[in-house]
Formats: sequence, structure tokens, C-alpha cells
Amino acid sequence: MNINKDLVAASATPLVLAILAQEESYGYAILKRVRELSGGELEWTDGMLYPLLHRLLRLGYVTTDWRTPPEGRRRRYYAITDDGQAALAEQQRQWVTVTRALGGVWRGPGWSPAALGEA
Amino acid sequence: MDGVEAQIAEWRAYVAKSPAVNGHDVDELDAHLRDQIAELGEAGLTADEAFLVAVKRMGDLDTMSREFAREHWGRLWKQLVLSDEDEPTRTSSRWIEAFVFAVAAGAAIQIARLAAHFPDEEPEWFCSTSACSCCRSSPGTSPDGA
Repeated sequence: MNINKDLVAASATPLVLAILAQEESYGYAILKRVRELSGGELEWTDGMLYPLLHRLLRLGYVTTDWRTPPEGRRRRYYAITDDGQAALAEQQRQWVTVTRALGGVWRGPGWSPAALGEA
Repeated sequence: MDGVEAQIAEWRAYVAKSPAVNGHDVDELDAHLRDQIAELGEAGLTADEAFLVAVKRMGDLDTMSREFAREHWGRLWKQLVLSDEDEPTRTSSRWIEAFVFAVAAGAAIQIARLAAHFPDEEPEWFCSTSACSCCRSSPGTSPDGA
């Protein structure tokens, strides 16, 4: 399945914020987490994550610092801020509303579940 | 492994050419590339293979540079004023010159954006490497080909 480009782009910010809300992380680990969460269906172009992270930084949604673990390489970690949590909560409300509406119509009368299965 | 180090250095140099990508960004992308190479190596790929796949996954560098430029447009004018020098050399007599260049750069970016029909908000780049035309042939094979 190829997920529509606009949908992938629209979900990128809430996904990154939600992952960072669970724990601080760095770019490579964030991308791995996105693949895990989506069962490999969401494939981002790796390098493009960084302009997004830097945008979140500029907006004050995340903070960043460089760290070198004892036996690892130096990496740039990102952590969500209170503003980021607020932005995430707002995005969550919007996405829940959209998926609830879609779920309602897809489960409603006249809808053929077979069509969904074959999609 | 020395061969891969040389390839990584070459890739780094190519990424660093973009005026919108600063030294920290290059370090960050470098760490990502090395993480990816290490993981692919553990999965059984040779160092050369791992490098090629990692570079491919990183995506087309021109597209990436453009995204960095969209986010870090403020860095671009410095490049115009300071030419190829890495260290800023501030002199008061250059201030007007800098301002003129900044305005010109801003105008150029807007024109480029209009010409390319860039949307203002959501980036277009979150397309998968396999499904999208923005990912051309692997830049790792001939980083200086451009």
C-alpha cells in the first residue's frame, strides 16, 4: 500500500511529537519507531526528517541537545516541551475527530466491508 | 572500513555545500548515516553496500537541501555575503552590502517558491523513497556529478 503523500505529510508532525512525548529521542531512532508503529507502511525519506525537527525546534515544540552515550556515537537528542505537548493534544483532537467520522461512515448502513478489505 | 570512511567524508562534503545546512546539521546527518550503515552491517551487508543503501534512504540531496533552505532561509544571505569562507568576518562597512543581499535573497527565494509552486505550509517531501520521483539515482555513487 502506498499511503497518499499528503496524508503522510499531515501525519508527520503529530507522529514525531507523539514519539517524543513517550521519550526523548534522536532522528534515526524516531524514524525506526515510525516504521515499527506503522508496520513499515509509513516510509519517510530519512534526510527529510531533519528539516521537520528543526521546524519543531523553531516553533518551540521541542528542545535539543547533543549527547554522547558511554559507548555510542554523538547524537542530537530532541525532547518535547510544554508547548509541544499542547500542540500534540490539539492535533490529537483533530485526528480523533477525523478518524471517528470516517469510522462512523465506514461502519454505517450501506457500507460493504468487503470493499474495505480489498482496498 | 577506510573505504567507507572516505565515502562518508565525500558525502559530508557534498551535503555541507548547501548554504542552508550548517555544521551541526551535517554532524546530525552524519550520525544518522552511520547508525544506518551500522544496522545494515549487522544485517549482513558489506560496508560498501550498507553505505549505498543508507545514502539512498537519506534521499535526494537537492531535495533535502531545498527543505533545509525552506526552514533555515535566514542562513542563505550570509553565504552570499561571506562567499566561501566558513568564518564570519564582520565589518561595519559591509552592513549595507549585507542588507542589500539579504533583501535580494529574500526576493529570490519568493520568486523561486512561486516558480516551483511550493506550498507554504506542509512540506512535500515525506514521500517514500520507493514511490516518488524526487529520489533520483543514488547521489552516493557520484557525489560530485552535479
